[in-house]
Amino acid sequence: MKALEIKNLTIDYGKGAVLRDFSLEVAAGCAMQIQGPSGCGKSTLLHAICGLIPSPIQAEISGEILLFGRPVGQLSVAERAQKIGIVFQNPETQLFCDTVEDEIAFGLENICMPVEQMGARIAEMLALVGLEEFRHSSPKELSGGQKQRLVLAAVLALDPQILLLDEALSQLDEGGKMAMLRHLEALAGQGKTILAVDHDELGGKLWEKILEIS
Amino acid sequence: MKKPDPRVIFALVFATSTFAILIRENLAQMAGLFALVLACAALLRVPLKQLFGRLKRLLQILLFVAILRSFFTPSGLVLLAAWGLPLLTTGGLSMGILVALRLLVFIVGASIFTIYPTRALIQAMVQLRLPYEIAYMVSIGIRFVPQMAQELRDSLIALQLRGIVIEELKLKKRISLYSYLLLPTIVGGLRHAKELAMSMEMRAFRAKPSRTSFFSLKLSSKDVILLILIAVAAIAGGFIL
Repeated sequence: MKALEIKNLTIDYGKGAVLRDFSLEVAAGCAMQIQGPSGCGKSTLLHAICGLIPSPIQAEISGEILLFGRPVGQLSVAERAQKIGIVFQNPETQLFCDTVEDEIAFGLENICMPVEQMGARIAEMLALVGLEEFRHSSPKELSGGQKQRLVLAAVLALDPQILLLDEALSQLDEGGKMAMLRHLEALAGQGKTILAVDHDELGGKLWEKILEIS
Repeated sequence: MKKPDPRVIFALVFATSTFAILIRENLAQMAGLFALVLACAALLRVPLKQLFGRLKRLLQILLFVAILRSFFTPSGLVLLAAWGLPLLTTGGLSMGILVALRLLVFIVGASIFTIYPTRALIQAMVQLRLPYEIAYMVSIGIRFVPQMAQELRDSLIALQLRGIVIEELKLKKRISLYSYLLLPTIVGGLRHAKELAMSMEMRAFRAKPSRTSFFSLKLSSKDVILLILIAVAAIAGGFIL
């Protein structure tokens, strides 16, 4: 089954196409890495997959993006959040709650999860990324790597079928990077579809395909 | 002392701010109102010394406003005159002090909110039936202010490290320097806001008209008594005015 299907995607911010006639197929459960230099359209590709283009990111877009056979533009915000999760490069711009617990609860509250189920889900996510002891701490007290793991937990709380990583490991030190890769390997083992973009090869054993774009 | 429910503070600040607007000429009433707000802030352990320290510049502006206002309200005894024209009068001075006190009631009242975590304030606004989108927008907007101030300070330090002594620059140069620094700070802030908005949307923000809440506020009997006291005081104050 295809988790993601991109057909003849062209994106133009008004200064020439960033992506032209780009096509890609990602099977469900596959872990794929896309490499390329800065400005080659890696992040743009992920934004388009998330349905963030043409709104709120304004650009001309043509072609088709299907998530499990459905055009991304036809998905509601809730459906989209439960199909795709994205971790951006800078954790500082993704964390805004007072406590680690609140940060994970945020998405669950948005999809109206009953409060009785939330506690267990939060605990499960914290255990997944090894941040149980920080449950009541402020995200500001965490290291860069821990912050990025918290973002991962907050995204995974909604149980998305596809996980996108937009240079999510590039700001981390070696220890933080290794910890994130371990969590990603576990997720790949559980059958999650993972698509990561970065300048360089990310390392780790989970990647089934590595695609280079220029 | 256990902090009261933030909704109690919303009621208190709403009542005191309303009275600060309604009191138009009576300096004694305004001074009393300011003393009340100050006492509440002190009782709730708002770091007032730190607040007034931070507001040093603003207090200078308030003083300037008070003096300016006093010059434009000629009534009562003349305290200062030039060429036979009254420049400063007792009525004017009283009006100037009243304006400054009014602004201080707003500032000190708003400072009480700083003792609460953002989540508690958002929840209070939501439980007061304010749309949750607006509650988040307000609280995240407030969070951006210190962050942008920090970025501006960092840029200033970077300039100083390159050997520019800002204090020694002439006013005109200093203003143009600040305008150069403000632009990247604002652009950085906008970029940050855009990424945060995308991240929130991808976590299903605004997916549904309402949302559940893991954290909720409950009014204690003490909070209810405080709310009744505020209501009674507001009604009594209304009669006095």
